[in-house]
Amino acid sequence: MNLDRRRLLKVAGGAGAGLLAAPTLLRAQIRPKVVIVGGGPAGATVALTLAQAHPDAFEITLVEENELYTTCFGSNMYLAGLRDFESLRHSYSGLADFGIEVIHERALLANRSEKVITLISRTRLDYDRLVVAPGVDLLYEQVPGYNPQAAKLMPHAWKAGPQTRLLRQQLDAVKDGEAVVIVAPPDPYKCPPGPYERASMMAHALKSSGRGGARIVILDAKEKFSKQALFMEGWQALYPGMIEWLPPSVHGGIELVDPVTKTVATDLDLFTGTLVNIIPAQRAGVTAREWDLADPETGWCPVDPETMRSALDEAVFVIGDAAAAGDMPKSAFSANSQARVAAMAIAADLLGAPRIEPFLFNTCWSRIGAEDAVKVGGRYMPKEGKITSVASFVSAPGEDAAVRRRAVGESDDWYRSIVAEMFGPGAA
Amino acid sequence: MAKPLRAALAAALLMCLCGAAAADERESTRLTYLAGTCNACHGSSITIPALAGRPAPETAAALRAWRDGSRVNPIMNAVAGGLDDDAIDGLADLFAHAEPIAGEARP
Repeated sequence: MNLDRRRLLKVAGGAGAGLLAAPTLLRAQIRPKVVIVGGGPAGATVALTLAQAHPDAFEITLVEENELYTTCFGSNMYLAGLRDFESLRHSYSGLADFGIEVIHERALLANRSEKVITLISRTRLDYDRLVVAPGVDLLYEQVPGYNPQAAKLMPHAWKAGPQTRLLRQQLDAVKDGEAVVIVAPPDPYKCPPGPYERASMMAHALKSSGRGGARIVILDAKEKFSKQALFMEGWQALYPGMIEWLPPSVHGGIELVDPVTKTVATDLDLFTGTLVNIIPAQRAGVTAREWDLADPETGWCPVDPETMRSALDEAVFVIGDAAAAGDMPKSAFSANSQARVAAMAIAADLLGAPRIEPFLFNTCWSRIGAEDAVKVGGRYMPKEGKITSVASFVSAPGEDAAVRRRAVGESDDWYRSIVAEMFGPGAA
Repeated sequence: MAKPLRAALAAALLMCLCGAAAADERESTRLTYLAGTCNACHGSSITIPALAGRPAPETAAALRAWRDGSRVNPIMNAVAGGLDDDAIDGLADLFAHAEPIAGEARP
């Protein structure tokens, strides 16, 4: 009797609770689904921005192959011994606190007409809005003789991870008086000042370890490069005679690279290095291209400059390096800024949130020496169908050492801030 | 005659109120969004000054000085150039009331 009564109450209570919970449950079931492919500065930021701005409003799934993300930004400082490798690596585990599901798998197929993607395990994820942020792919074949196998001997280290470590090992093995060769890519590519910051950080590592007699030759595919005057001035001041930059009008073009002899043959001459770092031309990541979101001519993904929505599919957004983002350089800062624009547009699409005009901003800090950083950046707005620079700035040659030292601190602050915007407040 | 007029007035008032609410929602969404850009650098401050807890008049005055160029900082001049008065006052107020981020240096 007593027991029955208790059971009855329990059942009634359960039913009551069920009734009360029903509206919530109903809401949970109809939460719009946002699937994000790629967990870099673009993809991770859009996931966390949506989850923080609209708690529990979306079902957010982030698909990213790697369990730990290694930031490419900051990795040149690891080459210089100014950062340790672990400080570049970040876990996605903090995203669970915000209700974001992270699946560490490769996304394979997209059926855009049915709004579903399939992962390599055959898991199907349907979406209301899909964000594609695969970063760049390297066009190995555009450097004659270069391929993924050759990259094990002549690293590119343009995707951070094992390649970054390999480059550091090879740099550590360079002896005083030996040569380093860097092959720099044509525009557009990820991190425009990156190859020159890398040369600076290699020179710093060599010089500060009694190997100031080593030489670094940069064989460029371009006639000019980002922050050129600043780098040239810094090289002269900090590493006189160590770094030589040759544009194609001087070297005449790369004919062939040989990973066995570590030789780069150009029209002008043969360049042999103890370390040969080859940074090939780039285009949108394979996922974006296989899903027909890229322009086959340019290799990059056309987007609406107001929203970062794919020009080819209104349910898809492409952000970060893979996007053809007009005047914005391909940088982690740009990717993070574009992610906020996409998040606003997704909230407007799916929740009826107000549509806000985009505020796009970028700053790229580059380290020339341990205490010397320079910056370039600007603000961007949609104009005449493309993302257009409306304000810009760049460090001045001959700046005070205190200004340069302060810029080192700024870049360190930015690193912690962006990492917190990607992986949650605990990550920084 | 009076009745339809009153109804029309009431309807107009309601529209005004709804319009104002929508404008408020739009503005608060815009400020939250713009604050994200601020946090991209100010989110973890050692060198770059923290914003959370800073008195609103101080932040607003600094942003206006950067916008008109009377104070020089290349990054802040470029940022502030894109902010209207409502954004400057709204952001200053938002950060004045924000909780400092853990581990962040106080202004």
